[in-house]
Amino acid sequence: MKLDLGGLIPATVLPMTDDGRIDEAGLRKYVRHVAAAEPKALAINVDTGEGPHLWPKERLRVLEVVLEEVGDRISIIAGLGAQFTDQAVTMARDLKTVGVHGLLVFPISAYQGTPLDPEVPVRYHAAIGDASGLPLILFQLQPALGGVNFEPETLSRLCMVAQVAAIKEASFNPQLFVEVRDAVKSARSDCVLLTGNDNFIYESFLLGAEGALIGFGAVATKQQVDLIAYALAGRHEEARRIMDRLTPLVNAIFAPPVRNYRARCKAALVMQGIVDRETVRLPLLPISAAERESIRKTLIFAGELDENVRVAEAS
Amino acid sequence: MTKIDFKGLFPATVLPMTQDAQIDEPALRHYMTHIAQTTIHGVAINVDTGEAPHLSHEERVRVLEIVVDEIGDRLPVIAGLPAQFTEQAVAYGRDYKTAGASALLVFPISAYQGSPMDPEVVVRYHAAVGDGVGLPLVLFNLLPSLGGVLLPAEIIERLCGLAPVVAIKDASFDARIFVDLMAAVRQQARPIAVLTGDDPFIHESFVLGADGALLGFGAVPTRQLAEMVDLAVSGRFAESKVVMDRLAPLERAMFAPPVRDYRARAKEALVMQGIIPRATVREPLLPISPADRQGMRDAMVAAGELAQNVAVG
Repeated sequence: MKLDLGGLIPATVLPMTDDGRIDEAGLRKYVRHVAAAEPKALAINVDTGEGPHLWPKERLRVLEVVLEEVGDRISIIAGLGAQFTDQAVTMARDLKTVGVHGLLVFPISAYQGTPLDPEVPVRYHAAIGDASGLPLILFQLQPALGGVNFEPETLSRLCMVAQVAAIKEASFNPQLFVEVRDAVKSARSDCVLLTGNDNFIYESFLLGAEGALIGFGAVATKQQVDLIAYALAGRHEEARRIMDRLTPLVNAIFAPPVRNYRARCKAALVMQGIVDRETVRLPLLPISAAERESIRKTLIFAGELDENVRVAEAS
Repeated sequence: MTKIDFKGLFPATVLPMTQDAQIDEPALRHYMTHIAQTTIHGVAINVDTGEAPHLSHEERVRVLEIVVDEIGDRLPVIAGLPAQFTEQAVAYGRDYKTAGASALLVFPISAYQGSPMDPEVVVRYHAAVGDGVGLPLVLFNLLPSLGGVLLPAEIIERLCGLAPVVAIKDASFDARIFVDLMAAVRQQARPIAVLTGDDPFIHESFVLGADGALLGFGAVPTRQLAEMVDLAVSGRFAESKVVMDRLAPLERAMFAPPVRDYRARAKEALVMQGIIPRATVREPLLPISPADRQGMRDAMVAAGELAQNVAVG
């Protein structure tokens, strides 16, 4: 199927059992719920889904479950978090075999240190594209979260890698977002610009975003699908109204320390009765009662939770 | 294994590779035998210098087995522990213990990123590795631009309270941070060794009180650098300074921007010396330019590591 990335692509959480294992039944129920909101695709095994904290075999199992459950209705993008080229190629082939529709290629540690020779990321992506034949989504991630901001020349060259279909821009910096837009669009006008900036989701569309691949999409999915549809249709007043309602929630979920956002997303979904427990896997730790209360209040403000629902204590 | 004596040099070693970038076992054995003839106090295997992030776990185990088999009877072998999550770190650490590692150098994990750093995340990670593996641990304070995290004094103090922790490698590249770290560690009830990983001020680290050094630079001028460290550890700073001054241009050439090339540069230098057969690095790393190679050659000659008239192939 032709990959259509123009809209919301939620990065989903991974429901877990009490001992931090994959909760397959919980995962099936959750992805059915998310798919019912009709986003463009799902991003699986990325940071939101605790991809870095899963064994390679577990990542494949998560994908099998998701594909079985909703793969006939919605495109599935798999996070590709590797360390070196050979490993990435092997993983990409496995992901192709499992049946995913595209790959989000995470930055690798070899990019660190300046200057970054464009050959390093270009060859890395070309090797993955050649081996898998799958559409690739580039990933520009802010250094504080372990990524790198690419130079315009590097972006241009990356856009010319045959399999590249889109870029997720997550510099969290509007000025860089615009620079990336210009570099990408002048190199390849059909390369889809996806915002990964949870701190300016709506505004990204004013700046030229064509879609959003965001962890925030794991909760309040339907409202964000609507928000983006309005924004892309130029109906900014309606889009703005949804964003205003969602802003306290996105701020609560991504409040410092940002590493807790996965547990906070799960807490929100537990309150809504969509997943069974907040459990995250070590090294991540459970959130505090104060964080949970902040999620509850902002969910109510967003119209995502009934004021009268009693929030059960976390198990 | 007897207690590790940290008052000396622990070179982080390179991994000789075949032309198709696989482990070159005979060359690795030869290289280990070569550096074991110096006054080093141990080796650090499977860290960034040894391209560990670019090896599979099975390959890291194999490298460790070869090194332990070759020099493990003479020298402690510290193994890098690069993992992504707690359960994986424990599983990997156990495999490295089985393969004969004397201690683990615990790499920072991505979950540390984002501020504020939660001390519980860092402390519980190390505690799980210490409890689950049963090897001495070397902490790692690493510059963020090299993919690490600088550990605040409060976290360092709590980590030093974990029984398996025996040493800390500082690679903050910041003398002020190094001084603060020394102070935090020296307040501890039991001795914790401070190892400098600060390439920009190796010699000065000892003036500031470092116990030893764990350095990728040690992969190349191993004999001279071990001698420098030995002199500095005995407080003979005038003499150690002379050696360091001779080596400093080589250090700068090896770690010049882009720093990721330092592994290829180290291998090129060892090829010039005839110690390893080829400079191959594994992708995503790429070979260095002829100009870069010439820069290393000039610096090697200036450091007294290479005769002027050796032709470079």
